[in-house]
Amino acid sequence: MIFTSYSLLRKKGVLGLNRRNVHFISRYNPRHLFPLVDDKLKTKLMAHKAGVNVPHLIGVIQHQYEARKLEEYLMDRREFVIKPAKGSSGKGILIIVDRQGEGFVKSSGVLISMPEIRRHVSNILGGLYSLAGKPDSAIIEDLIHFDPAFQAFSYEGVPDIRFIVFQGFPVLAMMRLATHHSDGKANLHQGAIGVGLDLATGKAIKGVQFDRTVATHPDTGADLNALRVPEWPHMVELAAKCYDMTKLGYLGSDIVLDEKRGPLLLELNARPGLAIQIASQTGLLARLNHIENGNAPRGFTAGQRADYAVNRLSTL
Amino acid sequence: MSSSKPVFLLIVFALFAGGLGQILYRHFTLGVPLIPSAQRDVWFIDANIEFDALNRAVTVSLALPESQVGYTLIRENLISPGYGVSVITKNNIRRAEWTISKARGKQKLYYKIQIAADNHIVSPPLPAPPEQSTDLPLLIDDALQQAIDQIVVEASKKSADPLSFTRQILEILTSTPPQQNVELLRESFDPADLLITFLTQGGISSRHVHGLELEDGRRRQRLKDYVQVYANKEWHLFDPRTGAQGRPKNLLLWAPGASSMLDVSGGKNSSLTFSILLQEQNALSSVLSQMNELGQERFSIYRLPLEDQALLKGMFLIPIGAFVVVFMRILVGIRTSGTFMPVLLALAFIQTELIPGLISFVLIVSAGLFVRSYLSRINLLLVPRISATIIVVVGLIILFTLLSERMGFEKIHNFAIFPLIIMSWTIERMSILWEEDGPKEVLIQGLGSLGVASLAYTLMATPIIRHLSFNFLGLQPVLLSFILLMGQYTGYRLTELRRFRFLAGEK
Repeated sequence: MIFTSYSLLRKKGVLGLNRRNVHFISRYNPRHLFPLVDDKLKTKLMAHKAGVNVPHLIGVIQHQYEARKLEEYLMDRREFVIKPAKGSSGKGILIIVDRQGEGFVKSSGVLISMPEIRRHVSNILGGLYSLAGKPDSAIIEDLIHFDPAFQAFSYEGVPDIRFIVFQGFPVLAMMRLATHHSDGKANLHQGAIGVGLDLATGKAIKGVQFDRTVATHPDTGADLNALRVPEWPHMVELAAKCYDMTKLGYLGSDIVLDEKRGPLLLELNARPGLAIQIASQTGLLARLNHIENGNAPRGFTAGQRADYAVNRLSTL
Repeated sequence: MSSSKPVFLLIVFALFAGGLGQILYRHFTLGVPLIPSAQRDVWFIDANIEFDALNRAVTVSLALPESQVGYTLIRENLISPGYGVSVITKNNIRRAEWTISKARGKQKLYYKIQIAADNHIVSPPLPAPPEQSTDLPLLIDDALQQAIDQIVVEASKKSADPLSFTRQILEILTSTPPQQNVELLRESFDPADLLITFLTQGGISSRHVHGLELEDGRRRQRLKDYVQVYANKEWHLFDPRTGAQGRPKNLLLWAPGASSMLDVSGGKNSSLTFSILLQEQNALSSVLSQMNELGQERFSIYRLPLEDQALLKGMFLIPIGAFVVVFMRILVGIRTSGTFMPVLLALAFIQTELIPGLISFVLIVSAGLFVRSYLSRINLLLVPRISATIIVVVGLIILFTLLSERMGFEKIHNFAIFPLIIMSWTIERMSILWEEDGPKEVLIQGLGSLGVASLAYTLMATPIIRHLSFNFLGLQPVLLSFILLMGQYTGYRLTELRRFRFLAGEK
């Protein structure tokens, strides 16, 4: 079948792009709050204040003349990540996993030198990776060691969990797995796999790649249906907290599970995509309407909202 | 939100009703047709008179043309700095007379007309009967006279009436190689005068007339000589140079029957040249301009100079394109590279035509992408990168223009019509898209853009839509009301019915 019927989509409660834009994003996400999530440095500082765990910040370089600070920051680090604050689609992210003499080992195994790192930072500052080429700053942060539970599911990239959070209630969740096709990035439109997660348990529902269902990871061969996210209640609570921190009513929050530190907030998104519905085999509207119509309790803490999501919203 | 909804709908309705009302008012009360009336060609002809004044009283007299079969004189205008002007009619010929008591140095006078190419005048007015004259226009010595007599006799034998006689004469005069005695005549005399001499010898009434070959964009064009032969109560036109009978399609006869075209007294070195411009005009617009002159439309775009009107005409089409873009994005869900790039592309297509435009655009963008892939390897910042792309595009346009010129693709060499900056941005966007999302996405968005542009072009080039958008400003608020409504559409897009099919269908 090439097309499905309009009424069937409506019956399934699928949220379309027009409705998302008109009804949810423009109504619940005030424009002036967008910079908070479009700039990863601002997100990070805000998260610190709100007590939300994020990958540890090693340092920030905002101007070309601060390049000397770079060596200070990196002096005795074996591993770190350098990324542009306003980068999009995972561009410009440099991951160093080890050192070898004077050189640094990239995640791909290639050895690069200090001057090369400096040039990369200089490119970031010049805006090479930022939207519209605006001058940017470079963030240096701790490398994430993702939980071994996900080892078999990701190919050359950090798997993260995307939550859609509406008015503070997590409503849908999906794990995003890098593939060879997505070049180690976790963006679905670049070919990463999305695995819908049961909001109640964190268990896999279905895997999709390019909006089509897949059963196994094309590179590692792992059975996607066997995926189960540990520490699920903590993850949901962290997602719920992102609302208190930003006040964005319709929010996508990306969370990683670090081996040692547990759930960490990676980044936020004020215009989260809709493919999550395909992976979850669930339309967003039932849960969104439930909350919007005032059926969900008000004045809850993040923890209470997470409980409500796990116990009540997941059944809708 | 909910309280402003009725206000919103009221605004939408007001725009729709107001626009529709204006359209209906113009149609039913002012009589502006809803369907475009046929386009007709209007020739703008400037006759330029130049001479050197001799520092005394000057009189310039120019014979003026009349409406004739195929051409209707719509408007005429005499321009004459410092001169007194009058138009007088003598012997059925109108003449403009410029006079001044004293003039010196180079003088320029203009006579401007607009002539519509139409079939308003079907049959010519009853022609003036020829003034019988037996004077020969040429002074001829005895030897030549003998040669002429010989040819006249020869032609008379083979002909039955004035017209066939004329054809016989012309055949002899224009034959190649010419007879020996004809060659001498041809070298010595003007072909029209020569023909008339023969016709007069043969007792046939004829006259020397002048015609202007109408050709778009010509400057410093001169009148050409023709001969008219009177037979069966009509004048028949002959070209004395080729022998062809009948009026060529684009020939405007200039005051046939006038004894002279231009007389200048008080000046020397006089010349009469013409500039000619062709414009397609809506027959409607002359109706409207008449309305204008009656003062019915004070604030009217028809009062603006033609050039400004043409500019507005293009501008009024842009909302049509914007409407198509909104429709295709919101209701159909087609992704394009750059929101309104397709509209600008469609505007360019109007000048290039669709298929040549598509080919040129795809050629330049693909070649640009190829070069741009090198630029991305040398890590340039955004603004220098786009500036470099712009220069590359300029180079490509030159290259392709020369290539297509050389290979003889006439229509495809309009590469320069595409807006340079738009092309460069398209290349930039496509290139980033290629790096980030792969060639498939480039193909999807590229085809999406071209598809939307083609659709917008098709609408924008449709005569009835061009007519409506220019003559009924009410169409704009109507479009606006539709766009506002679509802006509030929260239903699914057509493409989403496909995208989410595995979510809804598979159970």
